[in-house]
Amino acid sequence: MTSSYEQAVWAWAAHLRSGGTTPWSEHGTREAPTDVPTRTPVPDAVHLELVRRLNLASGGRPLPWLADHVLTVGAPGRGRVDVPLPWEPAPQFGTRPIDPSHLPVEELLRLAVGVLATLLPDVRPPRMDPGTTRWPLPWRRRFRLHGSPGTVAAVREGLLASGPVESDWRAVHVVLARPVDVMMAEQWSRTIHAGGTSPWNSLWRRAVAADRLPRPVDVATIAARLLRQPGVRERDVHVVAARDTAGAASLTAALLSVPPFHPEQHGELAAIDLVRRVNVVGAIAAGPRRVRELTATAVSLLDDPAAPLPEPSPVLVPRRALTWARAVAARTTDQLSRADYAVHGDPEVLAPSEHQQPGTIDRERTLELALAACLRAWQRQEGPR
Amino acid sequence: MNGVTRRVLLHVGAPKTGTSFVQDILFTHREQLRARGILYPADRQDAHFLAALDLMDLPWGGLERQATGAWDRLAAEVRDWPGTSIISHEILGTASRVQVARALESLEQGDTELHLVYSARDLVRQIPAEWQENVKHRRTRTYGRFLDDLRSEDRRSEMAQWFWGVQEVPDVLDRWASTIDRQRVHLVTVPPPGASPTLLWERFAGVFGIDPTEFTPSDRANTSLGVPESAMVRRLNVELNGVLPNEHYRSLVREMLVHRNLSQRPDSPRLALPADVHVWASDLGRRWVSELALRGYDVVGELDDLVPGEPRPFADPDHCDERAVADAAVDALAIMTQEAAKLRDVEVELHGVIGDLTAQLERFRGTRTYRAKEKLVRLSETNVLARAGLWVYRRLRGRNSRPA
Repeated sequence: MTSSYEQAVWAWAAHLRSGGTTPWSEHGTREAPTDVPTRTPVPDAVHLELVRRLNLASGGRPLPWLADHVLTVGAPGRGRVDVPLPWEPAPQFGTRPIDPSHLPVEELLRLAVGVLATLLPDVRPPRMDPGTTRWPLPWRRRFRLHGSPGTVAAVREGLLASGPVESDWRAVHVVLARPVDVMMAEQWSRTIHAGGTSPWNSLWRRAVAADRLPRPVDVATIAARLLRQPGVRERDVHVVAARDTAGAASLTAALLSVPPFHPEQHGELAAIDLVRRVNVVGAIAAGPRRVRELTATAVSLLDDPAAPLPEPSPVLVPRRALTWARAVAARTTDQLSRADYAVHGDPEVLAPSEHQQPGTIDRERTLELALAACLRAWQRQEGPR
Repeated sequence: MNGVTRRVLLHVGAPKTGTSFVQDILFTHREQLRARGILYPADRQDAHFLAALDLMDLPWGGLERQATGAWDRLAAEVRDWPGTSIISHEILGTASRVQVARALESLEQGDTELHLVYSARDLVRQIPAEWQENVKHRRTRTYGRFLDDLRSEDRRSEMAQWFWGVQEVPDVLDRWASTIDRQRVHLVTVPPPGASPTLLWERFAGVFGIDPTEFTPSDRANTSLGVPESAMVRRLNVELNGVLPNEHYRSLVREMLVHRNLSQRPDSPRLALPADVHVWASDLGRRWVSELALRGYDVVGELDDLVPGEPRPFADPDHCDERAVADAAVDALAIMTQEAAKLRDVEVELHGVIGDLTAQLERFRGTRTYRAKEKLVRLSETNVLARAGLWVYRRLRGRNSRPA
């Protein structure tokens, strides 16, 4: 113990370790506990505030093991190095002190992702259900879905449960179209769930630069390509345009003459962003080969039906891409309207959703999800703790 | 240990202080050094860079994917070596206290004598060099904004956080050396302009316990860009960011265009600091020197080397001579056109190879056996019996040849 600053920091750390949630500015005790770890460096504002946020998220339940663990994790990536807590006199050199309550959310998120990445390897990975496949016998209705990946997955699941089989042989090809912002979000989600690390804005930047939607969601091109395939007739290709997943499911069910069903909907931008951040750190910490496993575990923590997370926030198109998003939606709508294949639903729904204002990922929301995921990962740790 | 002291020399920066040439010497001569009891544990030139990325979980344009476990492997080699080991990478300077604690713990074993080495150069030379390094790493911030960011009290920008994280000498040493005996903390200063070209190497070699005349630097050096070239590359970044993947940027822009060509243009003005920033940087340098003088580190060179000299003429890359920028751009275009032509030649050559292979395939498809098989597969699309037959054939043959 070398200074009153260190004593005060360790005193607050002890308070937080016991489940306390009092902010630094209101914490009065400045006497350090007697069991201060000798080899652990004095924690900085980001580490301690993250412990406090975890305590708040867990309802003030003491999480000493998790708190100790957080203090040993280095924040991954770039950012402020070792942020001191406000104290007089302020240090002459190094990062300037910041009141923990006013820390930039990115700093807390950076560390939270680092902590989550260290917890995930010891969480039992989710069991993958391979699903049942049925033979595409001639009397069974056969389909193949294309287009917006998340909607495809949800509708596919409902269809398979209703009886039709998935096949390329003499199938009805259904291209599922949604608003371009939703299709981009679903495409982003697919790449991130496969271990990708590209940020949301980069996906848009690349699409704008190429002046075309990514191949899996370029619905007009997909439908045109299907028509060119040998053995595929005009009447076999259908485009379903719907504003939401339920609408897409309803139109597809009617098209294939199966009973209506309610598809499951997954994912929101902040959750995908969190998984993306985990992928970045996981690729270094656990190695590129294990990233998909960590991704699946992280997704399972966020999708836990036993503990649903608050209402997801809407998809937002980055400001710089909004004009292009409107233009590409109009162009695609026009292509669908003039096409030789059947279009079900209103192609005008491809226009991006109108929100108050364009923007990007809500980092506060990503942090909220990261805290929840850390707590769940900690509860499901295998082995001693 | 038979009287041999295990020494670990950990060189943690700063960038732009001759670190690349030191690492080049250590890597190139690692076998000879090993024979003299000095280990530079690296099987590739960037081994310590990857270890640093791993230690700090630091993404670096995709290269970090090769870094998993690199620090632990490096530390294990060092622990197993009975003599002197050297680890050197400049980005280690930005490690946080938690990461430093992990690094030091992983290197210590028994009576290990741990030495911390940090090389530093005056801010007047470091600031322009760091901005150029940023430009070579796809950044688009103008020089003026970069300088404003560095001087802002809250260090809000990521660039400022990185810069001070690796360059603020008293703070880097606070983080890395707080648990190390001060006599084992070696602050190597970069000599002022005009000093003997071998002096810096002699200082490093002295710390490492190497005879400086036995191993000499190669010609490989990070040459700096001129002002119009820097301005041009920054503008190029604006156009390429978000479009050109990192691996292509590294090979085409950084290596081919900048390092092999634009850095060699001799007549361009070199980047310096504007007068007011020079005054500010000089004052800060003097404050650092005063602080460092009190700490009792082993200074290799002179602390006054960190006090900047007289200002040099300033050419502003944000408002520079557009004709000079255009000249640099035309040179770049010529280089890129030649490269594109080379790649076109390769493409034409590959098309020839593909043509040959296609012709062979067509000849094979013309055979009677192949045509019969093709007919059967087509028939199987409409005929149940043919489909069943094809299925049985494939099962008997023992492998699936259906398209994925």
